[in-house]
Amino acid sequence: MKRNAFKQILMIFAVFSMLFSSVGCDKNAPAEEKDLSLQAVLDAGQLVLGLDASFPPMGFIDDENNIVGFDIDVAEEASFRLGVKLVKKPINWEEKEDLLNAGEIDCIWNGMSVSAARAESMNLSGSYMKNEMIFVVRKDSDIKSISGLKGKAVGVQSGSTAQELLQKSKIYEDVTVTSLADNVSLLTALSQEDLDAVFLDSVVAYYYIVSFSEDLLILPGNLGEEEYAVGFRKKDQALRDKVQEILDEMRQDGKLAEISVKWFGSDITTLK
Amino acid sequence: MKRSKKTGLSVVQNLVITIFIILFFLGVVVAYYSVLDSETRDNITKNGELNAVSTAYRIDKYLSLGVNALKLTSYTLDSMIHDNCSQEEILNYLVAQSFATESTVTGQINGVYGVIRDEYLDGSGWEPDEDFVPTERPWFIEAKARSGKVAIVGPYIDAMTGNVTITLSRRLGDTKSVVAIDIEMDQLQQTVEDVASAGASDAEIILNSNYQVIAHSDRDEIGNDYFKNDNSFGNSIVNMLRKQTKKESYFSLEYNSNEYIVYAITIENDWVCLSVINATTVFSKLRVPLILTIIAAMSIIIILSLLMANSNKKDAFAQKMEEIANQQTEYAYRDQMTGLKNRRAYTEELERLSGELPEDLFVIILDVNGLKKINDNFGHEAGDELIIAAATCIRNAFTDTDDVYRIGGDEFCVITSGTEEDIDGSLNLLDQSTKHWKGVRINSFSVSYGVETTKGHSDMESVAMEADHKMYDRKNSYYKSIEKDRQ
Repeated sequence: MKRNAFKQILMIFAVFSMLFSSVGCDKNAPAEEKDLSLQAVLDAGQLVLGLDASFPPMGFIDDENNIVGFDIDVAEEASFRLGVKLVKKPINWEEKEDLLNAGEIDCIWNGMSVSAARAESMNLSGSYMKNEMIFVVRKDSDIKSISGLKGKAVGVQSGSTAQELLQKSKIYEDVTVTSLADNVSLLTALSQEDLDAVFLDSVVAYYYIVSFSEDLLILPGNLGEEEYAVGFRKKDQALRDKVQEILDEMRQDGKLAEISVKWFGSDITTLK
Repeated sequence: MKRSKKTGLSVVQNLVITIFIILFFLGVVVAYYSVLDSETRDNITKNGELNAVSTAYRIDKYLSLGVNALKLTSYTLDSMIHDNCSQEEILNYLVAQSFATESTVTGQINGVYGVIRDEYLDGSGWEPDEDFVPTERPWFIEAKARSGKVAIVGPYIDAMTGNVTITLSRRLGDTKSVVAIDIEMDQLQQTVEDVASAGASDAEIILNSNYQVIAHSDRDEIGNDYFKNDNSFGNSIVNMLRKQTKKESYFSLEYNSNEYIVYAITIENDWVCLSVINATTVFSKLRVPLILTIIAAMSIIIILSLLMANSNKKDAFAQKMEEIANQQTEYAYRDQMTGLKNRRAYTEELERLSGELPEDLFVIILDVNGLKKINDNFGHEAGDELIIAAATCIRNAFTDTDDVYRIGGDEFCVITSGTEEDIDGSLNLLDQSTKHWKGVRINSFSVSYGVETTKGHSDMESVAMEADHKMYDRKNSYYKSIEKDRQ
């Protein structure tokens, strides 16, 4: 009988301790659907990067007809660390979402601005660089400020956030907008006086003017700030997380800064 | 036995109920504590948030003065460059602008300078040394790299004033010119120290986007690189900070077995304002009463368990005593030699029955024949054997009753109910078994008996006496028959 009572006490203690131990435990996260996106890239031995190849210095075609750029260097290093080959696939920027979802490319990695719509349709990496949206005019232009654009022909890239931003801005009603497939075509048209101004990313504009066309300059002021991120298919969480992990590593070990210094003269990356 | 078992179970039930009550209260205490704990945590984070927000606000305000001054200056410079103004015109503007900013934002901004169309121009009138290469200065390099975004360089000790200074610089629209202003950080540092010394937090820290310490309530930390992987406290904060996805966030952090709660706000220029509170001291104050309560409750449970177990033991002891007492009673009413009930039991039974005399009882008095002779001739051992044999035979003959008594040396009594035929049958069986008995020393013996029924009697005494008489009558006739045999 005595033993029985002790058994009961022991049982109560056991129940008690169980109650206590269960307090600290969180509910297990529901099992996720099997995500083979990373494995697919590893199996194929390649990461297919889609880019607008006229977006210097993030990704563009150099004099020797190679695709180069800051993003390309980062992607090359990330692919190397992932153990796969980087395949650079120039695309029509307007079709980027379709190509991504059709599986023609694994990611869009080329100074792609973060927007609410893109965050909804894609699985984005952490943002890694900031950028302002500015106007470029010719040095001999009589346009001295954004308000001076009234009645002028402004070029903007099709399918870009610049296009969206311009459409939403106050001056949109007062300018004639021409959309072309890429920024280099727009800036060429500006130099050739086919356009009066081009609305684009400051990162591209400064690099382009210094490297290719000293007859242009940037108007003071901007229509907003943007951030760049890498875009993956919405469901490709495993691939996105692995690439993010590699980018974080590169941030930590200084490789990202090194690539930034190579292209910009300083580390201007904003990855956390 | 049945009764005591029931008591044992209720002891366990009592114990279970008591422990459950204690556990319930303990549960209430723990629940209360967890509410208190989370509320305290909330308080700490709110406190941290308040500190960080107020610091962030002040820094934003402080910096925006400089940033706005720079933006305004660069806007005018862009226009002047676009209008092909001369270097002299631009320098004049820089001088005027330096004077304006120094006067309006007293003691914070020291002059406007820059590289304009490849030439260094300084609005404060500072003449650089010959070996001064402006395009190699950090403010120039950083501004160029940032394509029109404001670059923040520093903090560093200004060579001219000896104060902690940062430089804001910006690339102009012609892509090759850069304009810059210097801002003294002393006021910012003072802000941070004020917030921390108000006791609201253990440390107030401002980091730039590269996790370099811009300001710190501990002055010695200024300029340290928290991004460097060196397991320092600062580095631990940065590692946690890098995992945060929101502009405003808080997280707790374990460092040197202390728990810290950190509130972080990222401000406009990617600087982070951190409010660090050591939560260990706060929580340890909370935890002491909880631990004491748990210890007290546990002690009560243990003491109760011991007490209950003890009372259980006592219960078992009492039971044992009862058993012993029962046994002793049993002994007192039993004849040791034969295992039958003894004279005492017999007397008490007669008394009991006399109170309400049943009509259908038979009293049979039995006496072993020739015991004295056996004793004399074969010794007491043989005599004892005879008595035991007689007891066994009587016991076996009257199986319907327990009331078989040894009432004297060789005298027995059976009290039983039944018919006369039953009694005759039993007596026959007894005669047969005694006649054919085979023992060690005793083979075949006989028993004299007298039978009397209670019918017609008013008390047991007289029934027994009558049976006794009848038995003696028989005995006498038995001895007579033996003597006759001998003759």
